[in-house]
Amino acid sequence: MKIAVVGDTDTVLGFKLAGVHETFEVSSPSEAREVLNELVGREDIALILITDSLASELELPDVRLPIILTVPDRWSEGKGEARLMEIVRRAIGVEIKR
Amino acid sequence: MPELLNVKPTRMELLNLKRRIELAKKGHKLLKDKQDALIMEFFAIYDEALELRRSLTEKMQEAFKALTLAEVDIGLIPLKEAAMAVKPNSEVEIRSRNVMGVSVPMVQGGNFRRKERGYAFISTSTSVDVAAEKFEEALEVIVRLAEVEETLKRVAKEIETTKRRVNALEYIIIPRMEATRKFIEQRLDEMERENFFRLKRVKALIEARSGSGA
Repeated sequence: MKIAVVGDTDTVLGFKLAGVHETFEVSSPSEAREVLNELVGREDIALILITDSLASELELPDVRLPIILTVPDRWSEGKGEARLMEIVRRAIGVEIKR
Repeated sequence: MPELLNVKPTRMELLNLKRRIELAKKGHKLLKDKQDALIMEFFAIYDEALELRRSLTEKMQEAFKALTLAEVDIGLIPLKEAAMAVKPNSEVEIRSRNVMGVSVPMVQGGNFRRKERGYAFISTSTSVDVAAEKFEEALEVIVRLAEVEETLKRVAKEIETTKRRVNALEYIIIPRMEATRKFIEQRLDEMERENFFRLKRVKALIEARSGSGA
């Protein structure tokens, strides 16, 4: 199954070079949401990569498949780790620093 | 004071209730054990996810740096052209497996690193190769992280629902049944006392009557 990337120009360009199957260059969160909604319904996509900056501006769909993963972009500093912390806080009830 | 269940205060109900309380307590203990085990599992996965996250951040920073260099080297338009010509990389497969009753994904990815990418050698330079290679490396981390982070999310969700069930049993269902049991017991005692007193009273009356008749 395929990997898809939703992100800004740089991220898309980079992953294109790496040979990711489908890339979607978006310029606004609402555009990203549209692309996401469409991708989620597709059966041949296994993995959707979305940049941290875009992901923090919209609510990610809650689906089992495809897996949606946020990836760092040029400007996101530690947003991915913050998201992990949030998962821990919700599950355990306390924050744990490591 | 927890509210009472809507049952009649009879011996039958009391027996029933006692059995249900025992069952609820057993269930509570089991769920609590499950929760503890899930939390242990959760932290093992969390450590791995954090490590992968950090290495991905690092890799992506390197990749963007290399991308900038490539852009400076051959220009944005030729770089975009080269990217258009890149052949698709290997695909991934998702299977699922079971961790403590939670179905979690297993992402199996091919090898993303390669020598031949499909763009022309003449119009590009080694800087483009470096950038592509860095993004391929990032992709490898991404595929592993996708599995681990998704697993973490699902285990976290399971912990949440288990916690809710444990709490519901501990703070609402069991106290409510206990309160009802106490209520029935008191009620039955009361009825017994009433009956005892009634018998005494009848006996006294009969004795008084037979005493006056004699």
